[in-house]
Order: sequence, then structure tokens, then C-alpha cells
Amino acid sequence: MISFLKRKREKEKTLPTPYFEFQQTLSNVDIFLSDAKTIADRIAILDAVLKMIKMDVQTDYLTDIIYKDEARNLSLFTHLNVKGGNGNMIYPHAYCDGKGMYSTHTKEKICGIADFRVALIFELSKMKYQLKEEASLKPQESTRQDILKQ
Amino acid sequence: MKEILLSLETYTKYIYDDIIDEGINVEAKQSLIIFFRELKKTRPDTEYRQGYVNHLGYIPYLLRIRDAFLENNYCLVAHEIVTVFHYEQCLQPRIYNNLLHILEEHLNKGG
Repeated sequence: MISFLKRKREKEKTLPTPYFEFQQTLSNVDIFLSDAKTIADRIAILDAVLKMIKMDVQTDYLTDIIYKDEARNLSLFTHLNVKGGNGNMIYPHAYCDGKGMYSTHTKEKICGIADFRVALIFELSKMKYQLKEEASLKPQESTRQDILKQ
Repeated sequence: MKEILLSLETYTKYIYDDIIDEGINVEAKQSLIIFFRELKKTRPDTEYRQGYVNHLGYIPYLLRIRDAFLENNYCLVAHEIVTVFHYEQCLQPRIYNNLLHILEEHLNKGG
């Protein structure tokens, strides 16, 4: 019995810590983003990281460990499909840490997230969305300045 | 696999050169193609293991490999692959599949 508990504890110990994974990955990606010269380069880096994390979710054994039951499985797919259902609208109003999603305005918890990789997909997609917004605003600003000059 | 990794390690001495000799770069690319074929034949691990530091610790290494490919610096790619094999458990499906994907994408591009 004791050896069984020991084994169980050892197994739990080797599982990743959501907050640490989340923060560590974001700071790692930030280093690469700050080195990139243009917005297009930053978007390409975010795309590459998103692809890697999606591949991780699809193929790694951790997915089997986290999504043991179907209810959690469903939550994964609803989170992953956030973007499909005009999910861009949610970005200014929510943020994630490794374990949950919170309202930007009230800081209240909206829902728990079983998988830190889903939280990362959300945050990185949000960063990509903000960069795209920035890129789409820039030419407009220049045209406004041109009009003012004229 | 160890032998191929050792052969890739020989290109590490060129990574600090300002201009890499074109012949050596092409040679490094050929070694990477051989490595890719060998990696494809290798079976991934059968049970979960976390990385030495964290689960997603492989991302910076893969981003550096991607950067080196974009610079067409195959000696640096070889060096980064040896590094990721040293610091991470590359036969875990998450790293194995991502590495295969990056190699396939960039090695096919140049023909």
C-alpha cells in the first residue's frame, strides 16, 4: 500500500506545474519576439510557437493524462474552438494564467482550464491578434498624416 | 542515432565563422537529410516524461533551429539539433513530431 502511494506521489511529482509552464513559456517566447525586427517576423514566430503547442496537444502523452474523462475532453475542444466562433471578440475582455480564464474588467474567474497548453494557445493567439491590429492601424495613421500634410 | 549526432557535432566548430564555406554548408545539409531519415525510422518513447526543466522547454531550441534554417546556416542547425538532444528528451512525441515537421518543411524547401 505504501509503495503504491509512493509510486502515485512520484507520478504526480513528474507532471508539469501549470503556472510555471505558462510563465516560463511566455517569457521564452518574449525573448524571441523582442529580437524580431518587424511585426511580420513577430507574427511568424507566434505562428510557429502556436503550431508547436497544437502539435504537442495532438500528439503528446500528457493529453491522455490530462483528458482522462470525456467532460474534460469537451472543455478542450470548446476552448480550442474559441477562435472559430468569432473568438477575436473575446481577446480584449479576458486573460489567462496557467489554470483559468479571468475577466479583464472585473478580474473575476470565468472558467477553469484543465490544460495549461490551451491557456497558452489563447494568450499567444491574443498577442498575434493585437499585433495584426497594430499592423492594420499603422498604414491608416500614415494616410491620416498624409491627408493632414496636404 | 548516436553516430549521426556525433557526425552533426563536427559542424559546431564552423558556427562562429563570419562566412561559412559553401561546400561545408552543403555537406551539413546532406548530414541533416541523413539525420532526418534516421529520425523518421526511430520510434518515439512509449510513456510520458517531463523535460529536465519543464514540459515546453523545447520551444526555444526549436525556434533557434527555425531561425538557423531561415538564415540557410545548416551548420548552426546541426549544432542546435545536437544541443536539443543533449538538454531535452527528444523522443517524447511532442518534440519528436515537431522536430520532424520542422526538418521536413525546411529541408524540402531547398530541393
